[in-house]
Parts: sequence; structure tokens; C-alpha cells
Amino acid sequence: MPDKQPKMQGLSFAYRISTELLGALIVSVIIGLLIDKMFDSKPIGLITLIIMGFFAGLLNIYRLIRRIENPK
Amino acid sequence: MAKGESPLKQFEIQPIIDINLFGLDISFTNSALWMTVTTAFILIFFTAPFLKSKKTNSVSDLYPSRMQVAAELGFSFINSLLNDTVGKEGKKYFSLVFTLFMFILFGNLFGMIPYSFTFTSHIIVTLALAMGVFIFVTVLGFVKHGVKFFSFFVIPGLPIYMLPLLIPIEIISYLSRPISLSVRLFANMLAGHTLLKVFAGFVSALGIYGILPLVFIIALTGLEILIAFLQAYVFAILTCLYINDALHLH
Repeated sequence: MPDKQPKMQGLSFAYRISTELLGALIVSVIIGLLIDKMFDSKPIGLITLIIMGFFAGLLNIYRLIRRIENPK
Repeated sequence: MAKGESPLKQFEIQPIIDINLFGLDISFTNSALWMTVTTAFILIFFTAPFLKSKKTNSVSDLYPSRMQVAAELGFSFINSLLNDTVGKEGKKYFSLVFTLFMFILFGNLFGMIPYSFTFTSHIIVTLALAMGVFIFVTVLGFVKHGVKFFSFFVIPGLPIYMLPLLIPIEIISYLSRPISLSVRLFANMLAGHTLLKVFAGFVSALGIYGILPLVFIIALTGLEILIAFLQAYVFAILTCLYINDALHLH
């Protein structure tokens, strides 16, 4: 199926972008809750980690889009 | 769909053979049954065409049978995928990517058969697969590069005062890989199958006008088969990309 590859790639990028942000946020919330439990610093760890997780998700999306623009 | 039956009932896990081992419930469930069916089908699909051509000795043996062409098509598809993303070193990891692709693809496709069970619509199954890939890729990175693997989290050419901020972000980004990999497959299968059942409920509820949702279901079934293929493709290509990242840092 070599001729189908570009079309499939476009669709697969669409499916990936939506979950990249979500995945980073889920991970950061879990880490944030663990930090709060360990150091007993109730909301601070969670808030910091959510902000960082958001940036990590944006970084994921940025890398993905860069790959769409110039597939190596 | 009978009255009072939830569209989510299709995802219920029912034990077929109850097995209790030292207080652990390891019953053979419908999920396990369909995994076995999938694995058995893949084994037959890839061995049957080659076994048959050995026995007879006629001219038609020179031409590959249709089944053989179908099997080789899947084979070359993953081969070119690995070649494009990883390069020549990717050949070693062909069996891993190919197994994952086939298992997910046929799991999704068998889920489209009415009254069957879609095991990829359970997060525990997809997370186990994604964690397997994640752990494999991390171990591969450490084996290939040793301690230098940690430099994966440092973007080259970055001012030193940015590092304390960006290294945790990079680590979160790395840890999010198995989560987004598993959530994508699980959510697509769950949402698609629920949508199909919800619209199937409309068919009987609307009487003669039920023809409209029926037409919609036919279109949606086609879309679901496309998604079944696409999600397996995404899982395979991401496995390739992660292997590529572990082999060549940055």
C-alpha cells in the first residue's frame, strides 16, 4: 500500500494531536498528586505540575507539527 | 438492541471458565477468548498459504495464491514503514512492530463482527501493550547509549539557565508517551462502538423512520473499519518512531 501512505499519514497526525496534550496532562496530574502526598504540600505540587504538563503537551504538539512540515 | 439494555453492555467482561489460582481471579473471560481467536487467526493467516503450496507440485504453484499475496502485503507494509522511519537498523525490530500491528489490527477488525468482543476497547489491554513498548524502548536506549541516554532529555544548544525548567518538561513529555499511545486506541474503539450501539437503539425506537439511522449506521460501520486500520497503523508508526528516538538520540 505505498500509494496510500501520505493520505494515511495525514489522518494519523489528526488522531495523534488530540491525545498528545491529554497524555501529558494525565501524567503530570499523577506526578503532582504523588508529590503532594510525599511532601504534604497539598495544592502547590499539583498546580505546578499541571502547568508544566500543559507546556509538555504543547511541546509534543509542536514537535509533531514540525514533523508534518518537514518529514525527514 | 433489546429495551433497557445499555449501549455500554457490550464492554462487560464475562468469565467463561472460572479459574481461581491462590486467591487470584484468572478466569478465562470473553476478552481472553477473543485474544485467543485473534492470535489463532493471525497464525493461520500467515502459515496456511505457505503450507499448502508445499504439498502439491503443479504449475499453479509458481504463482502466489491470493492468501499469500495478502499475507505478503501486510509484511511489506510494515517493512517499508520501518525502513522509512528507522532506516536499515530497524530490520531487527521488525517482529515486534509486526506483531503489535497485526494483533491490534485483527483485534479491532474482529470487534466489528456483531456479538463479538473488542478487547482493544479496554484501557488495561492497550496500556499493557503501550507499557510494553515504552519499557522496551527505554531499555533499548540504555543498552545502546548507556548513561548518555539521559542527554535525550536535554535539548542541544539551550542556554544553561533554562535547563532546570525544561528537563522536567522533557521528562513529562517522555512519560506521556505510553499514556497517549494507549488512551488514543482505547478511546477511539470505545467511542466508536458506543456510537454504533446508540444509533442502533434509534432504529428500533423510531419505527418506519428508523431507516435514517440505519443508513447512518452503514456509513459509520465503514468509518469504524477505517479507524480500526488507522489506529493499528498509528500504534505501529509510533513504535517505530520511539525505536528511532532510542537508537539515534535527537
